[in-house]
Amino acid sequence: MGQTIKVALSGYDAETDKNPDHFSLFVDNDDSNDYILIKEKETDTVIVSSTTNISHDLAYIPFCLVFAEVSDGVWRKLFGFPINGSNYWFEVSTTNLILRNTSGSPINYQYHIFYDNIT
Amino acid sequence: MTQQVIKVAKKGKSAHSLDPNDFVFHSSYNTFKILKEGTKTITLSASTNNQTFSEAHDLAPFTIPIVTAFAKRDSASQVFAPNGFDVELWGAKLGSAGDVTFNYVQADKDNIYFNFDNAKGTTVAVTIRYFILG
Repeated sequence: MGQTIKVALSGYDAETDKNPDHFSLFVDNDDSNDYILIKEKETDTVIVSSTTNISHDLAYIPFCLVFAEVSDGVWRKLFGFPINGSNYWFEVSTTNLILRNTSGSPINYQYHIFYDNIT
Repeated sequence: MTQQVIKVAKKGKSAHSLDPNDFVFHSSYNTFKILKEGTKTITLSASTNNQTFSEAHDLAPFTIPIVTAFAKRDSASQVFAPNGFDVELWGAKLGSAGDVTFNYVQADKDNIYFNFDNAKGTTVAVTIRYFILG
């Protein structure tokens, strides 16, 4: 028998509802879909001038989210090498989160590294 | 004082494991939550690049939220992410580009912003699905 922790959103019955979108917390290790809650390791904001390595010490490639402050108070979600010619992106290795900026001007990057192994 | 922990290991893994990847849930680690989600329907002007659309997020107490989004042309069945092209319904080939580009999603303390290019000579209806995470 599996272990379960479920907290339904208002208006839904935690005992009968099967839709994970209807729960603020949905944990069930006996679920065939194996829903996993991603787990935050660290988050920080750094100034990136060209390339900045953030060591994560996990020895695998973790799930990461990165945002760049493209103008004062405006934060853009980053991906891999940008198709539209903008200058901000990131890569992830088994040792580092690698923050790239080819604009020539230092800007703030906010990063989130999770424990969850994506490989 | 002993630390109180709630944790659920993956099936076949030990609840005493020290590897965070062995757990479906572990109360020692912050988990991502969807603070808000929604859809926004827009119409891209014909033959125009750098079109920006905004949506108020009403989450000022959380300052600037973490956002992500996906776009779908109303005529297509698949979505495409920021920093990506749409792909035509059929006939898409490896390396081919669509004619609508979702350039980026970004946010400030008040709004989410979505930016697109449209190379088509006609307007394009697009539905955006966005998520605010925290």
